[in-house]
Amino acid sequence: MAKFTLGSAGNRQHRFMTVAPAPVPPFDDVERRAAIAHVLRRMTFQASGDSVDRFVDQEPGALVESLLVSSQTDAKPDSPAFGTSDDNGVLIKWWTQLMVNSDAPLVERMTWFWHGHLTSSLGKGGSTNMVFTQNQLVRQHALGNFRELMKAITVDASMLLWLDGNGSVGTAPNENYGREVMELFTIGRGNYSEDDVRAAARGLAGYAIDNDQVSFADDRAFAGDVTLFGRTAHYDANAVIDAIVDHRACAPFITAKLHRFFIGTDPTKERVDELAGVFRDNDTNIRPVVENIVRHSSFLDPKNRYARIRGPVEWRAAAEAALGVEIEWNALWDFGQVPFFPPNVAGWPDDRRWLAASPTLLRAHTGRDHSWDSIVVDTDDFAHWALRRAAIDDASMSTIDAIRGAVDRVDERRNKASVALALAVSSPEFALA
Amino acid sequence: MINRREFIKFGAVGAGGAAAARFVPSLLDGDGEGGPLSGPGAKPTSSTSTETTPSTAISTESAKTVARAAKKSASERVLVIVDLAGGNDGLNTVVPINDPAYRSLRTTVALDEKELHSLGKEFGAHPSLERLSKRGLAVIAGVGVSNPEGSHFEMARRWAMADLDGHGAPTTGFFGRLADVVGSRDAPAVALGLGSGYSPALVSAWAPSINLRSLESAQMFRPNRDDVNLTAFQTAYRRMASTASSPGANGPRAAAAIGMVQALRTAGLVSQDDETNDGLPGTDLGRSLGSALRLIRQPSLGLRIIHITHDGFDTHSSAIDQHGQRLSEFDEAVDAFLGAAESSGLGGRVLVATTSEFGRRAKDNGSNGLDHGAASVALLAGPVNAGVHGEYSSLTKLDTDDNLIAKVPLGDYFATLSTWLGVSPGDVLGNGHSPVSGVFQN
Repeated sequence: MAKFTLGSAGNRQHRFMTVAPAPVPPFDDVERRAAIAHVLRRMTFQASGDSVDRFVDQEPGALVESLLVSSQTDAKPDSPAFGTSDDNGVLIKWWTQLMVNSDAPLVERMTWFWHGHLTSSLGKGGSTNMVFTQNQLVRQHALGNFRELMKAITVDASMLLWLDGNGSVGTAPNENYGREVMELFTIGRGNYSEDDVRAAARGLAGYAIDNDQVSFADDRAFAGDVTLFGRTAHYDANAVIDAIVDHRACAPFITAKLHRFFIGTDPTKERVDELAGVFRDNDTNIRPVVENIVRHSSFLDPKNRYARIRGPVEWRAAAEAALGVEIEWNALWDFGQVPFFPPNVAGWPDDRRWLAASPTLLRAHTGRDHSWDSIVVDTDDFAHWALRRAAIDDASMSTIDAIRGAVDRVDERRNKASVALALAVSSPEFALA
Repeated sequence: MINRREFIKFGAVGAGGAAAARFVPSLLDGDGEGGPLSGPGAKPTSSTSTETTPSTAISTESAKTVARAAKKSASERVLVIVDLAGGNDGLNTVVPINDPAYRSLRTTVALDEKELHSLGKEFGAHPSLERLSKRGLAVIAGVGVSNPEGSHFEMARRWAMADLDGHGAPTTGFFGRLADVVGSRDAPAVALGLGSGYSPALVSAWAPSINLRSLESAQMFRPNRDDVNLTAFQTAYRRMASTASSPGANGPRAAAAIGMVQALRTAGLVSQDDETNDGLPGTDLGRSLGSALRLIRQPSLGLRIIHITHDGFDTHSSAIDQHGQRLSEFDEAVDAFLGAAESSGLGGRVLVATTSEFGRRAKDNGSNGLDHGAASVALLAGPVNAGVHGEYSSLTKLDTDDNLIAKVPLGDYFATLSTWLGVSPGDVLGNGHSPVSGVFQN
C-alpha cells in the first residue's frame, strides 16, 4: 500500500523560506495549485504551501485517490504520553498534532467529523482515558460501518456519561440519549414522536459506569415490551440502534451531513437520494459514501472552492503552516472550539458563527501576533509569497491588492513579510475552506 | 451592496450582518488615520419606526402625557437578557410551596422548603437566589408556547426568533427586531451579544448588532498613528472587508467580509483602558456583565440591548447540584451588576431578564435528573415589582407528555420586555400580544 507522506514532511520548523521571485498576476500555475489546495483543505488538515508544492505535479483527481488509499489502514497512532498534571491538555495537543502529521490524513478528518457529530466532552466528568478511548473508537470506525459505530458509541463510557445513559433505570429512564440519538445522531427532528423517545430510553436503560468501566444490569433495565416506530417488542440497546439505523430517514440524514462536510453545501434531492442509496446498498458502510462524494464532479468543481467555513481547529492548523510558528492549542479557548469540549450535545453547530465578529477579530489578532517571528525572505512580491504559503494562490484581486498596499507602506523586508503573512491568514479566503 | 436575498439565504452571519454591510462605506472612509469608526455612520435613508406607540399597559385618559414621559425615560433604558441555555427548571427556580403535588412529582429532585426565599405566601425562590430575592425579584410564571417540542435546538430557535407558533420563519431575531425599533444608526452597536459569540436572537434588519466573545481583542483596531506596521495592517484589512459591499458579493466570501466589517466596528466599543471590574465576580457571567456595564456607562455608544448566554441548565442528572450552582452564579453576578449599575447612576434604567428554551419535566427521572419539559418561569431584576406575576402552571393538569402547560404565552412575555424599551409589541411581534401587567415600577 502506498504510504501517504504528507504530515512530517510539512516541515513546520522551516522558518526561513526562500522563494524565487514570481511574475505578478496572473501567477503561474495558479489553477493547478488552487485545485490541489482545495483537495487538501477538504480531505486533510494539511493544506499548506509546502503541501501544495509537494503534490502540484499530480492531477487533483489522483491526489484524491492517494488520500483514499492512505486512509485504508489499521495502524493506530501512538498514544499520548499521559501521566502529567494536565492529561486533558496532553490529549488535546496530541490530537491537534496528529491532525497535521498523520500519514492517514483523511482518517483524522473523518474522526473529527464524527467527534463533532457523536460528540462527548471532558467537561462533564469524563476522565481523560475514557475520552481518549472514545476517540480511538471513533477513529477505528471513522470510515467503517455506521451501524457498528452507533452500537459501540451507545455503550461507550464517555457517551454514557455525557448523555446520561449512566445510571438510567428502566422504571424511570433518563431520556437524554434516547432523544439525542434520534434527533442529532441518526434521523433528525420530525421523524420520531415523544413516545418513541420514551420507548428508546427504556430500551437503552440498565447501563452504569463504575471506575471508568461500563456495566449492564438486567435488574436496572426495562423488563417489558415497548413500542418503537410502531413495532412492539422487547428492545435492548442493540435492538434500539438497529431500529433507528433501519429508519428510512437515517441514510439521507447521515449522507447529507457528509455531503455538507466535504462539499460545503446541501445536496440536491436527487443527490441525497443517490448517496442514501449508496449507504443502504453497502450495509451502512461509510467509506463508499465518502468515496462517492469525493469522486463526484461537484467535489473538484471550482465554484465549490471556499464554499465551506473553516472552523477554528482547521484554521489554526492552516495558520500554523502558513506562519511557520506554533499557535498554542490553548488559543482555541477564545475561539470557542476546543477538541473534547463541545459547547453542547450537538457538537459545534452552525458554522456561520465562525464568521461573526469575535472569531474574526481573533483570527486577525492571532495572525498579527504570530507573524513577527524573524522571517527572512527573498522575494520581490511579498503578497504572492504570503498567499502561496497560505495555500490561497487564487485569492481575489481585492485581497492581493490590499496586501500589496500594506507591503508598500512598511519598511524593511521583515516587516513586509510579516504584514503580508498576517493579512493572508486574516483574509476572507483563509476563513473559508 | 450584498444581495439581500442571497444574504438571508446564507443566514445573517453574525447578528446584524445586513446592517454591517450597509455600514461598509462609512467604516472604510478613514484610511487608517481617523480609525475605523471615524465620522458618523450613515444616516437613515428612510424613516424608521421612531414613532413607537406607548406601552399598551397605559390606557387612561392621560395616556398621551404619560406616554410621552414614558417614552423619554424608556429611551434611556437598557435591556440585559441572560439566556439560561439548556432549559431552566421553573419548578425548582420558584417553588409552589403549598402544592402537595410538588413532593409527589419531585421524589429526588426536590428542594427543602425551609431553605427557600419567600416570594409571597404561595411561592419560594430557589435557595441560590438569595441576593436577588433580597434585592427584589420579579417572576413571570407559566411562560411557554402552546405547542412545545422536546428539541433544544428547535425551541431555542423559536425563542430566539420569536417564532411563537413554530410555523413562521422569521429572518430576524426578537432582540434584533427590538434593536431595529429603538436603535440609532449612529451607534457603534445597538445590541451586543457577549459570551457565546453568536446569538441568533440579535440578528437585526439594520440596527448595528454585534456578537463579541471578548472585547479585549478589539484593541488591535484602535488607531495608532505611531505604529506604521499596525496602520498598514488596518488599512489593508479595511480594504479586504470592503468586498462585503462590492457588486455581486454573495455567499460565504461575502459573509466572511461582513464578519470583518463587524470586527472593525467593535473598535468603537473598546473603552479607554477601562478594566475596572466593579466588584463583579470572576465567573464567565460576571465578566460578561462587567463588559456590559462598562459599555452602557458610555451613553454615546447607544447600546440598548445586551444578550449573554449562561449555560449548563440541561440537568438530566445531578440536577440539584448543577441547577443550584448555575443559579448561584446567576444570583451573584446579576446582583453585583445591578449594585454597580446603581452606583454608576444607572439604577432604574437597567433591567435584567431571562430566557430559556424550555423548562424541565414535571416529574423527575430515576437518575436524579429532569428531562426536557415545556413551560417555565422567567426572572426579572432591576426596577421591578417583586413577586410572582403571570399564572403558575398547574402541577396536576399536565400535557400529554407530562409537561407543565403554559399560562402566559411567550408572546406576552416578549410584549412585556418590549414595553420596557418603550416599544409597542405590535411593532415587533404582530398583533394580539399583551404585556403582563404590574411587573415594572412605573
